[in-house]
Amino acid sequence: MMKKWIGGAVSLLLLLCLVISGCSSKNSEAAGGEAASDEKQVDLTLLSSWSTDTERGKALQTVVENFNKENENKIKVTVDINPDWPALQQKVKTMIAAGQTPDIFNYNFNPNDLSRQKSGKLLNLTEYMDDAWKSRFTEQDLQAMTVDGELTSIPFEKAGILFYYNKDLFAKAGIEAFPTTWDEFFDVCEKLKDAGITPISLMTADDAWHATNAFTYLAASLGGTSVFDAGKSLDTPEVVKAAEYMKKLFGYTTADALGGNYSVSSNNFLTGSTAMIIDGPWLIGSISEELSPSIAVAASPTFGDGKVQPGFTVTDTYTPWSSGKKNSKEKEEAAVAFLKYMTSEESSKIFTLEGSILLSTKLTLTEEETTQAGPILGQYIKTNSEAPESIVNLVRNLKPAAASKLPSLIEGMMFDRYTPEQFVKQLQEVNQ
Amino acid sequence: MTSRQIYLYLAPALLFTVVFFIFPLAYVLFVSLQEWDGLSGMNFVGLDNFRYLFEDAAFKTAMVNTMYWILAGTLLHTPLGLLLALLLFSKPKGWKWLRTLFFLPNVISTTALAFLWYFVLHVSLGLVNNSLKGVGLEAWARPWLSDPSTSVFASMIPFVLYIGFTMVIFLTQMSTISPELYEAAEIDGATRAQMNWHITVPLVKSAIGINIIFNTAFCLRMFEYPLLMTGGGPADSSMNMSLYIYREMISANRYGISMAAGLMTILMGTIAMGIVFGSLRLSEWRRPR
Repeated sequence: MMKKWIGGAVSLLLLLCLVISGCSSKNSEAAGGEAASDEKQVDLTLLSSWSTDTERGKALQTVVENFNKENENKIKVTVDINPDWPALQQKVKTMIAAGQTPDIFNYNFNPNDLSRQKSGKLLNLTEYMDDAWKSRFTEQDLQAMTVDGELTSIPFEKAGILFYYNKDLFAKAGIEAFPTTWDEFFDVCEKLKDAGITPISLMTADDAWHATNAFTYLAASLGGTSVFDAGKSLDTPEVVKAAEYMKKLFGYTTADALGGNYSVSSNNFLTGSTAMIIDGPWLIGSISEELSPSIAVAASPTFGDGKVQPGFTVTDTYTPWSSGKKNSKEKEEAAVAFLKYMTSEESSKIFTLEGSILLSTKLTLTEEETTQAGPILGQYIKTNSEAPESIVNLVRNLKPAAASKLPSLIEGMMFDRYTPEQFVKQLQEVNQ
Repeated sequence: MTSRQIYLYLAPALLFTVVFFIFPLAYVLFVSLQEWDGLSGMNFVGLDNFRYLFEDAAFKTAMVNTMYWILAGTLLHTPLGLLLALLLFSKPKGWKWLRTLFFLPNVISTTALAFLWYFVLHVSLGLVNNSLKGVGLEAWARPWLSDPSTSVFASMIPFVLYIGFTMVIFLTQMSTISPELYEAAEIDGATRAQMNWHITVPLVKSAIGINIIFNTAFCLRMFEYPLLMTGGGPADSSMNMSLYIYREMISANRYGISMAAGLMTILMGTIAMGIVFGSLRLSEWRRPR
């Protein structure tokens, strides 16, 4: 009996030794492996929503590949793609809250939601901002990204939103040129409608992007580009009037605009079902070769009363890049090296010409390069760069609670649940 | 078995219940009393979040719509599942194929089904409106998913129609009924309908209860169909509790309000389950002995 117990105990001890030695050898291998790889290269993960089947996704891939090639065995950037932009934004917020801030990520800058910047978990880039890097940006953009004296985000994309129109459909309705005043614009809508053509693509789902572009253009045309300035009440006669015009505009859109999302609305334009859409440069990559010769871009109409200068633009918000604070200085420097590379003249050219991304970084393009970009992008860059003033789309400046409520408020106004006055009043209330 | 052994055996289950249910529930309760955007510090606001919920029209709509979902699960989905099971239980030609066919949608992702029905009900491209136009009923065509009077019911259609899982539960229960009962009824000259009504239905009462419980729970946490087919719109008309919780947390970053709505959903679920269990017990009690 005793022998049996001793035998059992010895076997158990042996098994334990085997397990422990197995684990420790595995651990030491892993640690050794890690140490070896630490010496060799720093691995960084970049979170992005730009899938590689899009122009911007391809451009990002090219920039990352170029950077990895230049830094072979030193730094390696891997792109982690989640094409669902709102889901990616939430993932980033959750990661920050959990203390696992991503190595490199981008987000929609909102002066009314500085929770990321104030979390204390973003890398302060001020000490890395040498003169050469600083010269890539305008002082105004760098100031806009500085929160509580810390520069935690690098200005990158700030795309102008323009009016795309289908020249063939315009011609079919007997319209020769894009309207320059809003009165002419609504006449054009009427003419298109009479010709059996749906004038404009709009949508109300998600962030009601195409509808809020129109709304922002109308509000700025009525009240100037400072109409939505921080601290100003939304409940003004100009914004109410803009809401009235937006309601009128919904009379010229598709039947699926109410409840439709971005892809529904943009597909209506891209398939030639509607004559106009108000969108950013990313739409260019989705225009088919067949449709491309029919498409042109134009600046917004105005009311011709001098409230805004002709050619003004609504822009998307800044979409800057940030990096999480790191325990290792080496990793921090690697992230900064990539951000510098990403905003260099060479990379900016790739992003603009191959990715159709209009950047905050300084970029000089030759006439030839602009022509090579293609007729739509070339015209886009020209119209955007000539804009005398601009205003950020309303939805990008609202507090998150108001931004999430905006689509249902627009829909409520369309179903006559609220008057334009009530719509604006409710929006102001929820934005406080 | 000693009481020490009983506690020892119960310990893992108790531990898991505390860690994965009681603790999260207590945390949800704690957050529901705070104003919190998920990143900055929390700010204690007492019952303000609950007060907000009862003043918010979208929350009231979400509660009413969730009740519609539960009613659809109890009064439409479950009876349809029973009807189909009764039909297949009579073993018509090809019943095994039909059983597989009806169960098939249950193994397809809800996302795919939601998009399928989005296009079936689409205002201009949809099969429904084009069929109505095709048979001269153009006046009946409407934007089913973007009309506030139809959106919530339109988004329920796939759930109401895909009854495969409910049907299988009924069929499983039906297979336990002794064939002798049907033989005796046949000798007495009972028709198929009489056999179904007087033998099958009373003997699958427990399956009816199980299905109602499953469907009530499913409807309380229904998320994909309203999110993908209507997004809760237009003008919040198809909003339900799950979608409201999601919107308040993900889009509005109001974690406190979201958690308060979550607690209200748990309360609503408890009441709904209480009614279901109460009704089942009542039917047991009233059954002739």
